[in-house]
Amino acid sequence: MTRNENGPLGDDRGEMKNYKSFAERDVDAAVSGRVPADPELAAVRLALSLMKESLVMEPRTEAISSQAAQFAAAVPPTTVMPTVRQASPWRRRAGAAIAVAAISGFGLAGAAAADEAAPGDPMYGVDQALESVGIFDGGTPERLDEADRLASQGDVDEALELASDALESDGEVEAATGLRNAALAVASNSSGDDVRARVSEMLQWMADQDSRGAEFGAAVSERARQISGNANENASANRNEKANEKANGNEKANGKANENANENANKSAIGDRNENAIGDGGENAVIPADPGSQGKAPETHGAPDQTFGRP
Amino acid sequence: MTLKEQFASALAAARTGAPWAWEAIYRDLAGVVGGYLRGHGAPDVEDLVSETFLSVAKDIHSFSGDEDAFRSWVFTIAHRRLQDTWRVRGRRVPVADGEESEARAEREWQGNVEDEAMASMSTVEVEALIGHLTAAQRDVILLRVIGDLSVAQTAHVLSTSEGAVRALQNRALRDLRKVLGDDA
Repeated sequence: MTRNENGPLGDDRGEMKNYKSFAERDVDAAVSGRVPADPELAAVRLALSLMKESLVMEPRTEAISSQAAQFAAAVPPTTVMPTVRQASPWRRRAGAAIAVAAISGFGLAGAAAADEAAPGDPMYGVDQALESVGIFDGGTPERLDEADRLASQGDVDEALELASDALESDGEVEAATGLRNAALAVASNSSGDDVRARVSEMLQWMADQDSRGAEFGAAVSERARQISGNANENASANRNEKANEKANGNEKANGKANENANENANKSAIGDRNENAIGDGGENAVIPADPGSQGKAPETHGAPDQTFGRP
Repeated sequence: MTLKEQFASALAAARTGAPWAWEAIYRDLAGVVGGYLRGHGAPDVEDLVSETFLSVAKDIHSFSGDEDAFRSWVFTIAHRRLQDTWRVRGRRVPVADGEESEARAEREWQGNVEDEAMASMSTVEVEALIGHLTAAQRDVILLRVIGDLSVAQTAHVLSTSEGAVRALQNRALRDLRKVLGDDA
């Protein structure tokens, strides 16, 4: 079959006629560095091996760990994805292997340190691996605590992401929505430090709640309403003060801030964010086809690298 | 060369952002991915390798499959990065099928490939050898030889059929055979 396919190709250039097609197994041997049975391919095999030797350069050892840390940091936080769920027994086994490696590598003290890790810490991956095999709880309360730590370190966005993902995967959709609404309301009316403190406080409160389910969701929503109510009051109080000082300009600006706050509080922020996250990943799940490309078509190109951005 | 039985645990850990897993993956694939890009004459190979792995990291949740599939996936991303680079630079993928490059290749190809003692090829010699191939042949040969990909994996990366890959590699070897002389 290969010979037939190659026949016409070989014939379209006159000088090629003298050179026969090679047997499939000899071609395979030659390109993979094994000695082909066909002696005519010996020189080609050697040339290709030398080419490989000269082109492949192993990365510099001293650069590997810093590069790896960069890639590890670029991994988006796990979103609730069906494919991941389905693979759970397999993940569990993989997790067990990692956990064993982690415990033998770090010892129990190291494992305890891992339990304290928040996303972005080097230990966080280990933390999650240990949790996945049930060595630490790793349930929603622990996620909320981690989120709280992140928020108090100033990474509010990451904290919210982590917290609401944890809540959602726990079925606490209402609570997750409430949290986001509260955070958005706070964010659009407060300065950075204040947002951090309030989000952190909210997360702490949520982690301390014993109730779950509808009751919990309602409590969170209620608290969110209070927070956004306060935020709006503060905003309008600010506005009045400033309006007295400077009659012009400020009113417009604050009015807009207030408008934003309301708008944000009303729309379901979670729907937005998740759609984005899953859309991004899902589209690229399978290597997308580049129709007609045999390398000569630079105009075809696909999704994964387009969405690329430096962390 | 490959991670084999450690791959599944490395992938699982890589998804959680564990640096050790990325180190293992990078150590395993950076050399060959760089070799593939270098063989294509890519500028700034190291940057391109980093960008490739960053894309892999960003999309790691969308990947599922075994190590072979992962390897194909990484090369697919590298291949596209390369094409993007050329597009951005307003350059076409260099195609060497004109007389000029053949003449140049013959002039510059001085390696006696039968001499086993010859340790490596110079950049010029590699360029000359690769310069004999058409762009499509070069994609196939570099993926097969440098990337250690199978015919099926290569077809996947290039979004073409296995038959086309077989035809291209056979043709490429015949062309190289001709270049390297009859006294093989």
